[in-house]
Amino acid sequence: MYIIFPTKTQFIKFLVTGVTIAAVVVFTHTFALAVWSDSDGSGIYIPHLSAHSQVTPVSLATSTNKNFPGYPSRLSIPVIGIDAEVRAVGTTAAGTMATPGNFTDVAWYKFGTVPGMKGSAVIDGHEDNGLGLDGVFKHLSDVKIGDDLYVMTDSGTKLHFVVSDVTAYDYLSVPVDLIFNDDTGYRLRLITCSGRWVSGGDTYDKRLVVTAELKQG
Amino acid sequence: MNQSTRLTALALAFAVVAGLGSAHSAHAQTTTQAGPVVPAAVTAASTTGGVMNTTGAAAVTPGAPNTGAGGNATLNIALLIGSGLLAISGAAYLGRTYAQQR
Repeated sequence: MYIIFPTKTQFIKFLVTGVTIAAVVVFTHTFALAVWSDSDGSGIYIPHLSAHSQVTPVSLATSTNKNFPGYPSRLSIPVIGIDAEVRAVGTTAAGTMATPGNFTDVAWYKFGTVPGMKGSAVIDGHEDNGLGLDGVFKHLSDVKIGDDLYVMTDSGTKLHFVVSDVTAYDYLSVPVDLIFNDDTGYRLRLITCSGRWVSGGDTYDKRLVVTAELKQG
Repeated sequence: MNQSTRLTALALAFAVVAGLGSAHSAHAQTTTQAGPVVPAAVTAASTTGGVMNTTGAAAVTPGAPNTGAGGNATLNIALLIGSGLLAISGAAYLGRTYAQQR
């Protein structure tokens, strides 16, 4: 040690400098990840295709349909005071629907149904962040059957949905086929986490799903 | 390279290694749930509602998203307080030490 640090004071200064810089790195990294989501998934990753393939989601193919309302830009739920920007996301490397890159926006699954078209459009949002602060869907469980939801599109259309179901599923048995592939009507489904924290699993033990029907006319 | 520069370089190297190690074990991120197993091969005939790509092959239904991270809040706050105190203390010590040298 004395070859590098001729004096004890120099060794202490070196040690303190290193610890201080490491502490700054840990603080910055922890804070950044706690307030910004890292599972953005805004890329085009689809498990069975190359990660670099330019897959066009079905929603873009419907843009020539005269009933195409436009892509979702904002979600409004007046009863719980939500007015959030809608971001388009795909899937994560693990094959799950991605989430917004922050805790104030919501995310629409861009490889599925466009809100307002026949099928089941899916939007998710965070329940909370890594500091325990409220996410955009913190109070989604307060929504009741009959409540109104609105989706504004980038073409200026305002879509009106009415809540028809509110169900919490165990996180290991979420009916994803129903949620993403139900084509029996014109539906919007909102998803967020709920229930109790599963330590070691880094997740809550429930997924809250709010189903709403398009109110036409 | 003089003594001072060498010491600073060693300190930075130590800090980078320590920081990388801490970042790897930080529990701040919203880790994604594994979700249901996604089949690797999907036939063109197995359409899944409106989820298709322009090639005609059906896209795979994704797993449910993981949208919560609050369970790690206690650990994250402890990390923030601990590292913050260390950073402030270290900066104060170094500031006083270098000021005395002048």
